Amino acid sequence: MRLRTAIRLASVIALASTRGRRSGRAAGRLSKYPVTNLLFSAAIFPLAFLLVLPFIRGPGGGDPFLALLYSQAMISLPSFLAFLSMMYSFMTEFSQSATAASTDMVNWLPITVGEFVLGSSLTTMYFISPIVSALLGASLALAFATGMTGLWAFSGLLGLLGCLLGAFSLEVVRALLNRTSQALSRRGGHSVLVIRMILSVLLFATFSIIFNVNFLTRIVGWFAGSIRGAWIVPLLWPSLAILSHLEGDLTGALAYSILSLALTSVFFWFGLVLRARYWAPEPVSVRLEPTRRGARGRGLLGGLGFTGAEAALIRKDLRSLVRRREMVSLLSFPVMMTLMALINSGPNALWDPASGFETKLGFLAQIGVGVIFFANYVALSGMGQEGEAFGNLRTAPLEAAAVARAKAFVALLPSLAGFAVIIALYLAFVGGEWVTAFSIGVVGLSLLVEASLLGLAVGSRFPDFRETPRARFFTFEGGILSFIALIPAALLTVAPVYLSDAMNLLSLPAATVVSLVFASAVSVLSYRVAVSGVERLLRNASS
Amino acid sequence: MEAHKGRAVVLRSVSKSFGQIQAVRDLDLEIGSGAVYGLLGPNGSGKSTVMRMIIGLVRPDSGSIRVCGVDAGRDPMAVKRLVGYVPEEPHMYEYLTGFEYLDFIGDVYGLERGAKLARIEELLAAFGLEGRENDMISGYSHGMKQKTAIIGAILHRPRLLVFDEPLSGLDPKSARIVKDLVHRLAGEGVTTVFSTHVMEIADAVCDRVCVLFGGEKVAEGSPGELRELAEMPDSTLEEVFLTLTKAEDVRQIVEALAG
Repeated sequence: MRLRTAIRLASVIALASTRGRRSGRAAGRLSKYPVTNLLFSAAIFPLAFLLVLPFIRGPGGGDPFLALLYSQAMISLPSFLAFLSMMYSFMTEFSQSATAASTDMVNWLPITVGEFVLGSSLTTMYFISPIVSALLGASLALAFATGMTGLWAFSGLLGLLGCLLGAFSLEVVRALLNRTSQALSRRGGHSVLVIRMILSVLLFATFSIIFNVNFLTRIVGWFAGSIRGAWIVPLLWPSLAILSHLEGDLTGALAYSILSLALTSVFFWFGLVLRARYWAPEPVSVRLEPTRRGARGRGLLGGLGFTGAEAALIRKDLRSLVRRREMVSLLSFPVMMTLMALINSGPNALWDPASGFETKLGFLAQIGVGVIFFANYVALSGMGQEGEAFGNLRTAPLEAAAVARAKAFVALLPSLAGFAVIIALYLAFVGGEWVTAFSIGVVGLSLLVEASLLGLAVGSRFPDFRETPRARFFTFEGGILSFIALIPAALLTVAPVYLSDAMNLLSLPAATVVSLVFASAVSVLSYRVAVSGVERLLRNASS
Repeated sequence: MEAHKGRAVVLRSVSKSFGQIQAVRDLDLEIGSGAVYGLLGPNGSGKSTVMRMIIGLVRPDSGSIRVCGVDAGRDPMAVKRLVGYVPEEPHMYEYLTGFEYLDFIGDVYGLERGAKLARIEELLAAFGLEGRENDMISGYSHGMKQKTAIIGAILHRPRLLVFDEPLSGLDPKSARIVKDLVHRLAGEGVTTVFSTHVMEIADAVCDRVCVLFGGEKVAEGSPGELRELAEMPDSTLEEVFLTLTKAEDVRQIVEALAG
């Protein structure tokens, strides 16, 4: 393996990603130079250090509580960085189109598997380096304050190892997915596409969970009772090395450090073996059963009032949702939130008779948050996911309002299915008065419509149609704006109902009406913004 | 409306620039109904921009464009209903099968279901895609994608076809089908505007051609008229084209490259 080639490859991948950004602003243009990110990372380290310094009392470790908090944070640092690195590399992988991956130059250049895996992992490290740098800078200031600089250095080193571990895990998943796709492609049929998507979502969600520090400590709690039993979870070995170091157990610290290094090497080796064995640079083509060609009539969508063109758009986008691997991260969101709810509240929180009303409602609310974000993200991605094929819509006789209605419905339909599951669980396990159930139903539904239309409004203003080196669907600014708009809008929608319960200011039915009116106002406004945004895109305002 | 009778496309003093680059300069064009009209020109001469302006994808900075009597600036939706377009690089929904893509296009143009399915099947068979229509487009070759895009463009029986390099990537049989199809449609009054770099095709297919250079029209007429215009009656259209676009002396370049 040529280290120089791996580094060269990493720099080219980084260059392709940074230059792919579209920005006219000076800061945007500057960010297109890969070295900018490195300089930024280098600058952020002292900056984070200096920013934290004024908030601490002074060197010497005078505050035992701070020292305790700091040691706990530093114990979790390697696992957190592994999670961060894994999430970043997974999001990048799933947003890359299968065709682009297959025609990638690495498939035909004389680059070995090892060079590719290392190069790709170094790119991940490069992109997350500002966050790593900020964390290390801030924690160094705290290390001075607590007199634990040795802990900082040890934890930082293991943290970097964690970053590599997370990045290497991608290769394992990438190869497994490729293998699954190949096996399923040979079978063909519509069910294959659904199975492939379900497997991808589960794989993504599973890896996100098993790299989660909270989950890992809970696992230890369930099976071992104390942190001493954490040796059964290899991903916690770096944390155990730090813990041993803190306790002055140098043999333990050394043993767990070696084990951590071995674990990272195993992930790297596993990535190499699986990639060498299963990677096939061919476009993933699936033959489906013939589409039903008999008389279709108006169909369900026609019955709901959609025109033929709108129904065609909806069908196309629903197919996109279950067939494109770029959609995996979107679909994983509610699944991950459900898994997190299960972990946070315990697996039997919902049906345990000892759980109170608030606990059960909190459990369902966590899943609800996942569904709402899902609706928002699908709508936000609606225009941008057209990609370069958007020309098909621009040359077609389609009104902007028709496109907006279809896109909003595509976000709403699967979210409604998730919402229906939540309501069913509520009725089955939570119970309570019908007025409360009705109120939750109305507010939840309003939130879904509001989140979808808000997402569409932002997505129509900030779409990103580029598909290489990876599909983004919406610009960075759009993503931030959508999040900033959704949080207060959702909180203000829920607030009347929540306050009616907490402060008895309004009766629940009256509070529900207030919520509904507010959500409707936001929805109507968002819809108008969305239609004008789509109109602008169809008219090609850029020309 | 009456003023445009018999003319499918009329461009009047159309100009378009992209930043500092003047893509099209004060262009006047008149294309008769049922004509097969070729746009020729070297890379960057403005062919694609002209085509994209005709179908309403790009708005001109100045001048007017009428398609079948409809003002493209005022009623772009009406123009879209009249036009079928195949871009040079067809971008399609790769996660759909060929059939699903064409079904989608048919629905968007509001085709009646029975007629749509019959037409899709007829065109799939004509272009040799029968049996592959249920494969996802991601697995299609460039030529197959091109054929699917062409079928999508003619599915709704447009009155104006705009083809940007329509024959690139097609096998000889499919290229022949496209050429014959264009002629047959011309007989039915369908106008075709297409760009190509292959002069033999322009010579064989086009009633009239327009040579663009640096965003300006340098010559227009039938291939025979162009030969006369360039005072090269016995030359090929390629030689005439190279003369008109001031690129005739390629020998020195070839020698330098070979050397």
